[in-house]
Amino acid sequence: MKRAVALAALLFGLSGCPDWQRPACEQPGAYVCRGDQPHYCAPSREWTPVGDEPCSAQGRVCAIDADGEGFCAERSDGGAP
Amino acid sequence: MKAPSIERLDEVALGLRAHLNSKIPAQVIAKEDSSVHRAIASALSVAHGGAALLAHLSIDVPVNLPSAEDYLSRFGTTIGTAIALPRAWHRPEGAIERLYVEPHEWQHVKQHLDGVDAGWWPRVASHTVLYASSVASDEGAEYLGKVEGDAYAVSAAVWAFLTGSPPSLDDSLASLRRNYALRPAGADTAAGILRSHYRTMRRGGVPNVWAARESVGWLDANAADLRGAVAR
Repeated sequence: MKRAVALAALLFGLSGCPDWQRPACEQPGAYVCRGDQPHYCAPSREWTPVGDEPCSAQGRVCAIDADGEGFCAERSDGGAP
Repeated sequence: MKAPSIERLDEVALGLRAHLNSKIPAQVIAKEDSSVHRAIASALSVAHGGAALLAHLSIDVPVNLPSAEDYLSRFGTTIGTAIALPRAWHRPEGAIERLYVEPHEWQHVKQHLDGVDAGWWPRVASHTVLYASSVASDEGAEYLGKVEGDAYAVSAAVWAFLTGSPPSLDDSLASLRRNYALRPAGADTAAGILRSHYRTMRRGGVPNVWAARESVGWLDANAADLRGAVAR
């Protein structure tokens, strides 16, 4: 483990900061449903997934509320998927 | 409702650990026994010494780091697949802390194993390098905000099961900002992630996070007597 941490630190130092690859978005603070999972538009203007599973893993469905916030709704919840 | 005994809480905490370990194997160790974590604590001591010296020179260092003692005795920390918890939490009396923190830390093990696309960096290293880069880059800060936002939602879901309601969103966000010295981009991302999870919980759901689903599902099936039985 110590060697892995040292190697990661060395690579990090040599290469600069890593670039987290995400799809682009236009409006920071907005939500969208992608693949039945809420995504949040982060300040870097990239869609950032909320959670690590689709809502369907718990029998729910991704929805956007009237105020624009994304979440996992009951299938009969009325939110727009 | 009668408060659950320490023995029952300990039994449930150990059962939940065994369940999570059967899904994603990890090692739970005492933090004080780990040379890596003792080294991190020493580095924090040096950082605090440097900050104190700069403060004497009227130079304010705007970074909120835990003390070495707090790091070892008050925080769970996961590196790779090793979950390090303060030694005191391993005793039966620490069952509540384990119930609250272990599922959160198990989510970090999954995040480490899953990795993300981080350019040319190998996936196996992506979680660690992005997390470590959070102090230096907005990209890393957003990653930390995302993974901690998801992990805080795991703790909130377990807390909601045990006490009847999750901690307030404001309390969770304040704790996250305080404990991780988040840059503004990371704080915004964490807030965006947590707001969504809290809305899911307010609508009767469990956050769409692996450890939340596994933990609440297991507690439902094996510890229904604890539902809402723990005092806040």
